[in-house]
Amino acid sequence: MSYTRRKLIQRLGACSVLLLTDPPLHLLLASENIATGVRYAMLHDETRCIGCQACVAACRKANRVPEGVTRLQVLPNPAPGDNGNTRQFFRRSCQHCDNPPCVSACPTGASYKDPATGIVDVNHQRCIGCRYCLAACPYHVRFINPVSLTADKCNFCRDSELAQGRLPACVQICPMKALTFGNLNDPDSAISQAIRSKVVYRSKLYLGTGPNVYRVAGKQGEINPNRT
Amino acid sequence: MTTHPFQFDTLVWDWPIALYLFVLGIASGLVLVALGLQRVLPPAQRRWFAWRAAIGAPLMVAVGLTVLVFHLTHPLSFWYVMVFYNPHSVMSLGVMLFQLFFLALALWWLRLGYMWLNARAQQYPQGAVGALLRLLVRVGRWLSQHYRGHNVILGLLAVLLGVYTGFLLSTLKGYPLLNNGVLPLLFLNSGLVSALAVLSLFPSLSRSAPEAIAVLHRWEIGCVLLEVLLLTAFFFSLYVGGGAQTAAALTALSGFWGAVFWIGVVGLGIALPLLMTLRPAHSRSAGVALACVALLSVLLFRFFILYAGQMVIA
Repeated sequence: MSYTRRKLIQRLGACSVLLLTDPPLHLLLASENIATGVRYAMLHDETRCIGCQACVAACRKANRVPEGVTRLQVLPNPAPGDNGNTRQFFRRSCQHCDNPPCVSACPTGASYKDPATGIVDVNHQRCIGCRYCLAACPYHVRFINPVSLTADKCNFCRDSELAQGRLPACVQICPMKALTFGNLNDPDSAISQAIRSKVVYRSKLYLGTGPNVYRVAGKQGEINPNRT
Repeated sequence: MTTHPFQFDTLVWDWPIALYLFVLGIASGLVLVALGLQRVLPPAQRRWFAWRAAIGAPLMVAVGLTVLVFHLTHPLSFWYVMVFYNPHSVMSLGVMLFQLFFLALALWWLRLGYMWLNARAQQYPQGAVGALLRLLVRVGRWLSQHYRGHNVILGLLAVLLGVYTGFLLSTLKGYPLLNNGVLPLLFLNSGLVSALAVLSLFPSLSRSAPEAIAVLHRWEIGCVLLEVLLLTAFFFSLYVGGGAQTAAALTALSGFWGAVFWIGVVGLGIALPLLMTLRPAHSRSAGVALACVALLSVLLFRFFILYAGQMVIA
């Protein structure tokens, strides 16, 4: 072998010197790697969740969600073949995708992704209720609010709790601390640390949506990546 | 797992959308047939088709858009789509397309009717009305001199209209059956089939454009054969796609919507017209009945795609 370990180390060293000292290259990498803003995400730890539905009620109260619709569901996610005895749950709510299909579907721009927070939200004054976003969302988390008659869904309590400087209502109320909310662009945030230290999965990654709800799989059965 | 064919959890868009897809297909097909016959027919017979397309297409689009507007939860806010645009949204691109299509059709009216307008303009030798009419006549005459370019634009817009509804559904990546590249072509083709059926419903067809009947019939058979090919490609790509795609194909082809497909789309829309070529029926009533069956089949196809398409999610 002509390619020796010594050569490899020399070249690696040369590369790292180049990377650290060359200003244009440094700037280029910096613009891609250093956080430019906040990117909110959530982690649902299915090993902790007991399915008490307190989060669903808290969400309804905090965001004045009318009866008959919900921004958040906690659904049974039993291991196959055990007749529903395993108490495991799946959180169904907006994924605040990096590449949200609802935003590209919306003909009027009423559905948008807030660049400052990464939150996918609805401008209710602009929504005409065509339901294209409801059909476009592969997670099926959007609904027509029966009061406003516009498309509605979780916005991480952007107008309610988050606006008051508090965590989303579901995170505050969770008795099992199964939910972690925070800024993915901050490597020291609780959620960044949790995602680093645990084995996580995300729903329907293969669709290219870039969902921002991370999940720690329950203790039994198989992970179903296309669970809705 | 059995589900109600018209009410299930993952259903978002219901029957008014199927009607909308249906009438838009007719509009697109009418224009394409009229343009396709331009070289085949003598001028008088061409005009028969041109007028029917120039009036029928905007009428059909208007009906479709009315259905769509009243399907909105905020019908009175429909005009937002004409003020706020999102170039990433197929629906918003469709709004742009409709406006261009209506403009091209209005110019078609001028092109077809400028002689009549010229006669009206003679009655107003002075004044604003006469000046406006003369301007329109001048535009119409200019268009009739440049009819080739105008036809190319009209044909392009009609093809775009035909595929638009397909793209509208095929961007829905959550539904594997809809999220399929063959869908726009299927809709374009079945739009042509429905337009041919609508045209053969006119009682004056055999009198006004006798030479067109054989051509229309040939095209109809061509479209039906193409539909066989496209449907095969559509379901084959789903069936071999694995996972949710295979499940979507199998779900769609069985149960209630499977019956609609096999009886309504394959039976009435493909097998029947192909069998009728073996023993052609020449009576007027048979022709009307066959045209109605063809229209019903296309309508059932739109319902089938819309409903069966939303049953399985990715």
